[in-house]
Amino acid sequence: MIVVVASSYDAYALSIVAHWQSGYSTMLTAEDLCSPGWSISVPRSGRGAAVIGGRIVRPDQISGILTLRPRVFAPELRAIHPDDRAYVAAELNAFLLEWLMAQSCPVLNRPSLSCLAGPDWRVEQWIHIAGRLGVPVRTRRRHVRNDCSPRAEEPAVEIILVGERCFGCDDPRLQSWSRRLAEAAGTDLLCTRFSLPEGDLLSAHSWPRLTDPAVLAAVRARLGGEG
Amino acid sequence: MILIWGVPNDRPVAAVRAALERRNQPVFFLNQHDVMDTEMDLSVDGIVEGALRSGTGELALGDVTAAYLRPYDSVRLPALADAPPKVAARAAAFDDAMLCWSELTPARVVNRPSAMASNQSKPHQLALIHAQGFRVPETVVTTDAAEVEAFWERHAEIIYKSMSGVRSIVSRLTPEHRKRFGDLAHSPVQFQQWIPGHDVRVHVAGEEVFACNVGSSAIDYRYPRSEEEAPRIAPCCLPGELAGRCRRLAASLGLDLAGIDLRCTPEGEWYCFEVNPSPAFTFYAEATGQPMDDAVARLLADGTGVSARF
Repeated sequence: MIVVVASSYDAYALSIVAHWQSGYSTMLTAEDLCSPGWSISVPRSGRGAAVIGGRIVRPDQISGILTLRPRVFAPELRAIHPDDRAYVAAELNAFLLEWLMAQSCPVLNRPSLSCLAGPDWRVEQWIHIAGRLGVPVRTRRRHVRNDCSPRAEEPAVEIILVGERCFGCDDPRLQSWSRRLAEAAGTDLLCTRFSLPEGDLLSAHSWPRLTDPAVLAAVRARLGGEG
Repeated sequence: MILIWGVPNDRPVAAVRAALERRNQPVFFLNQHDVMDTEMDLSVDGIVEGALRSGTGELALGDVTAAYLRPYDSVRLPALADAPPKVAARAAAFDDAMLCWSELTPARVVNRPSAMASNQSKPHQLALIHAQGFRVPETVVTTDAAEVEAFWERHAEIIYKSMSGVRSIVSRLTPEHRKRFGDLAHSPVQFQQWIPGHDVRVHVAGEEVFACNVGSSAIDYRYPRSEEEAPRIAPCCLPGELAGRCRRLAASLGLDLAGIDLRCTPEGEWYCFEVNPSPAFTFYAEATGQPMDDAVARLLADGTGVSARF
């Protein structure tokens, strides 16, 4: 079973599960987190139980996990009293982080201490590491003043990386830089934007939009399903 | 130049600032109350540059050799409590730029925000502590009443407490709680084996370690319910190589400064419960006379520390 960790209100996540067809992939929602049947222990035992799609599931029944949320947000906890939602959301995030960290199956992207999906870096952090790795970068400037103007967009090419595979651009140089950046960040899913025609890294993030069927097939293969 | 970011009446901030001034260290104090009058430029590629401008003056970020951070969320400061959205967004943008810089600068940062995040998930932090070789109390997080009953039966005495960074009072589970077990289905709850013994709070500041006994009959000594339960704090020594293990634990979490909660059982076994990545060390220092402020000041004056990730 592939588990898609997402909000039940997330149409994009629902479309991915529909694309993979139900029975093979299942959503793990905030409603599941607030259902009887969960159990995790510390020190970790490798046992425990999860509630996924309303059913109690053992860890060995999960082939892979795709996390499509940075955290659980208080407003989505509609079954919880409004006064308690912020507290419960914080508790669910703390719980889900340890559950995801403890899983031995492939997890895209592995959580970090501050985000359920990937390293949660700001653009400057991606640019800095890329610069340190020798990838050409466009200097990123931030001005916090009382007269900020919006940043201008410029022509760019976007690459989505799933494991070793790159989508969106055939330039081997840009692909190689994207792989290097993903490896340094310890992330399997990555989106990079390079300027045209120079090929300077403009930005990166670890939440690529998974709409291209070829990308979705690569993700599914990475999570232990068929490609 | 040493940068301090926080509010002036925060006791650890005031203590570290005073200790640095006693050592004649140059300090740039970034007062959070002045956030709307402070500007920041940040420029990042392979190197990190920029400047801060406030009523205190201008600071080139490249001149910062160390930083001590104890910021509040700016938009929660009293002065901004009812601020219009545009003002709140401006304050949040400033916070974010500062936090971004603090992740990237090669200066010593006490502590980097990414390292402090382990405290946002107590179960996960406990797993990290256990991985460093410390005994930790057996813990179960569950939405299942039968699971709690089984855990309770196995350990005879158990407590419950929050999992997140939200502060909660550690409480002993009693038979009275059974009527609330139905609420477990609304959100997972963390239960923990009760460990008898006496509490020891350890502060690690770089290589320096300060330990103090905390005597109290309260379940959670931070919240005494009576005069008798008020904590009695006294300096103590750690046995064997426990101080070294505390140093290694803090380092493994990427923390230059840490408050570590230990308990020693009547059999002499040491358990670790939690690591506070932004400890209010003055509470303990004022009771014991341990010069923790000087230790933090030395750490900052030494400059380069736990490096940025890259």
